[in-house]
Amino acid sequence: MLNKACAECGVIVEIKNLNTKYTYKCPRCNYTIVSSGERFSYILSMSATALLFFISACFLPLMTFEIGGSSISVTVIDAITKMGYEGYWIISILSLYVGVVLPLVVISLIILILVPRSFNYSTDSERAYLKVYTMLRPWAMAEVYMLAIVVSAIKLKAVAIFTLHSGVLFFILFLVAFYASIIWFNPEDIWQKYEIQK
Amino acid sequence: MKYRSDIDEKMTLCLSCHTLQFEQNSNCYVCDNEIHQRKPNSLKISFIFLISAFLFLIPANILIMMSSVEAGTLTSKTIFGGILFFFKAEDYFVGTLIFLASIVIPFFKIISLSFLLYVAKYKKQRYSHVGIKLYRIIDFIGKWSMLDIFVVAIMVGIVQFNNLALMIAGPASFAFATAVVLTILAVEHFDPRLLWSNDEQ
Ligand SMILES: [Zn+2]
Ligand SMILES: [Zn+2]
Repeated sequence: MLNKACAECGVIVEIKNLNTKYTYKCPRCNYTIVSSGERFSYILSMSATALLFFISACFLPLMTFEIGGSSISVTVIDAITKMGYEGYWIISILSLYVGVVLPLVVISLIILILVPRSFNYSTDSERAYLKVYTMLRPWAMAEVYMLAIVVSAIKLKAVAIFTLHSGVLFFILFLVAFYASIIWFNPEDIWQKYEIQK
Repeated sequence: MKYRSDIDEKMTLCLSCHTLQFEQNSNCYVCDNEIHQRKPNSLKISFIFLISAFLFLIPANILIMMSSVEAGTLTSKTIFGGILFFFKAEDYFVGTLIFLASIVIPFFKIISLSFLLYVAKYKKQRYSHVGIKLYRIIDFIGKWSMLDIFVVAIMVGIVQFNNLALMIAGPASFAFATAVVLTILAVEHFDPRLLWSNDEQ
């Protein structure tokens, strides 16, 4: 028998014979109390894919603008290095941080946690990684950044003639793979192993 | 049916690893995180963040969000002016999106969280169920308010630095970004378990 408490209303729920295939909900407020994530191997391959998409997106051009006969290509590296100016660098850094850097950090943490786990051993740093993951995850706003790219493209149409390149596609694929990874990964699956140990 | 809560059982739930344990420990025995039965000073901290967020929303809506050169003249737009521009250009999709993200969501969040703080502070338990639903909605939609900020950052980054056109982020972008971060912090510090009484039937 397992005793769990609802994190959103405090009700204690007794679970007899926990089945990891089931989702357990709070009887009072309907909060999901227990819901196991995907298999570690699936999450790991999805996160690795996300990372590969991101690296590809960095080296490919995002878009080309045409003005007065000349054309300019923009890459992710350009977008990162040329953003700050005249004191509004705070906006640029904040956007880049929660839209791109944090999703990247979160994906790297999943990989750092799950690689040793898939060889069935736990490292000392695993607990620290898990805590940082739980702390940072709510601030990773990849899906909002994705919509912002779409809106920017629509707005840019009014300003300049431009063509989108494969870099944008890979960046969107990165965001999708990122989103799948964080939905599949549940840190409680790993904490549970510590709980059983003690 | 009578529900038993963690407080009735003198137990504490760790919010980091979700392990339930007896309350005499100050740190979780599984993940070593600091544990409390309820987030300490939850309502006070949440209220301070909420008020600050509201104060930042005022300049965010009055000051200039973005300036750009259109048809040879420099035009500056507030958040609302930018939305009107899209509707005038018959770009209803983007106009509605920005309207929802920049106007509806921030104000809805502030009103909802004020209601939640009222329910928790004055123990209005008949609103517990409505309250928890509102809490989940504002927790989910919070980050979408960042949409316009991201758009400004992307546009200015790409357009300005390739000298395609003149486009400058205005002071409202800073005020608005601060307001959004503050509302997210306010929701994060609010403990939804305070919406319920400990001995509800
Ligand atoms: Zn509950
Ligand atoms: Zn813990």
